[in-house]
Amino acid sequence: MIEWIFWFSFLSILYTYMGYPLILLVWRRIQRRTAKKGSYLPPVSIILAVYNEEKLIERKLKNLLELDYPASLLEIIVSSDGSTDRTEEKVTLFQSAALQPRTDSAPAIRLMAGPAHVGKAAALNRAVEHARGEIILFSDARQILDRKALLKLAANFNDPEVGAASGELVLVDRPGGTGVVGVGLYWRYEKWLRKMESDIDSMLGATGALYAMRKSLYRPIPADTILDDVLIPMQAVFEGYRIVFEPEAMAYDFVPHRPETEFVRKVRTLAGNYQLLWENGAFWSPKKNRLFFQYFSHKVARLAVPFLMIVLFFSNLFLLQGIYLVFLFLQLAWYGLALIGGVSYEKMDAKAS
Amino acid sequence: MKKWTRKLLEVPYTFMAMNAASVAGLYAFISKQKRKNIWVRSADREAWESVPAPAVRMPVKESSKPFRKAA
Repeated sequence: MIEWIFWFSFLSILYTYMGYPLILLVWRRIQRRTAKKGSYLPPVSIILAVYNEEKLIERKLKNLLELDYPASLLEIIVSSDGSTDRTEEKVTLFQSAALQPRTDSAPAIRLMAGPAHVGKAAALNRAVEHARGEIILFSDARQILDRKALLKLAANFNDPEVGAASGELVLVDRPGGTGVVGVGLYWRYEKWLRKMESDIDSMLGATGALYAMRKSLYRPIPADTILDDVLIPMQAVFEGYRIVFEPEAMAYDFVPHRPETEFVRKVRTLAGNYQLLWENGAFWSPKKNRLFFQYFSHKVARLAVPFLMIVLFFSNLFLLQGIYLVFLFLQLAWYGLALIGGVSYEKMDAKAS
Repeated sequence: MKKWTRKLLEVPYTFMAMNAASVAGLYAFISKQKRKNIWVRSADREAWESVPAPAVRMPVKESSKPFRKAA
């Protein structure tokens, strides 16, 4: 019995990180779907949901004004979720300073100031409701977009099967090269999976830093939604459309300085995954969610891995012979290296500060 | 510690940290901490604040391509 438990845990972990990617590799060889891109230029509303972003908002607006896209087809909506700093004031000042005199060659910038801090989902719902574009582009205040990002995303909507298109978040090393290598590797692995899922059918969400969606497919999301960048584009999948990955539409961010930063982000993401599973039955239903297999293998199995690792370790303690001893040694070595890695970080951090 | 050794050690450390995040994520979801932490994506913004802002190039070029109706 213990042996069964051991092998079940081991093979499940192996499947999550190696088996599933291998299945995707083979699947993509058999069935590869490419979006029928074209020079498609629909009216676009860019939505920035912000909360206390006074230090970044001007930079972001300048960046959006530099996008290569016909200005007359563009509007920028800044939806402030009850910011208490100077975010809203800065947007207003930017509107009057950067866009005067108002001409057709400059995109409209609209500020929607929320009366209270109620959450990002509410800020997004409010902004989309008032958006005039046929396509909605979602982005965050922090990341900088490549000038061609919107053009590249829009080209995918030439394909009537495409409901949403996600850009690529490129993590660049920080000034001074102090970014965390492990996080960079992890992110590259993640992007590789997303690309394959997109080639086969559809991604399981989008990159929150940069994605676009047909406005007609948007449904207001619950106010406490954590993973808006999963739930919003997945609405397109539930309606029978695809979410495609567009590697040429790029947004830039820095690799985190410390794994802890990525840790906080990850806790939020994974809490969001639990929330989606708990509160949204469509994700569980193979009838409604045609990506059920991918969703289960990529998202749900990941949630189980830490618990499987605990089971694997303790079941291994009852099997101290032959090949099982090798497994135990490898596990101890892995945990030992992780521990040394953590301690060395603490030391380096103390030195740096 | 040499740079390559540090890089080597980061992989198991990050893997473990990511898995610990899964457990912490479950706890956060159960204890409803999520509601307070919705804007956590703004963390780590200090890196951007240290980079000079780009110059604005206005106005944006108008395209000659006609736009088509969505399918």
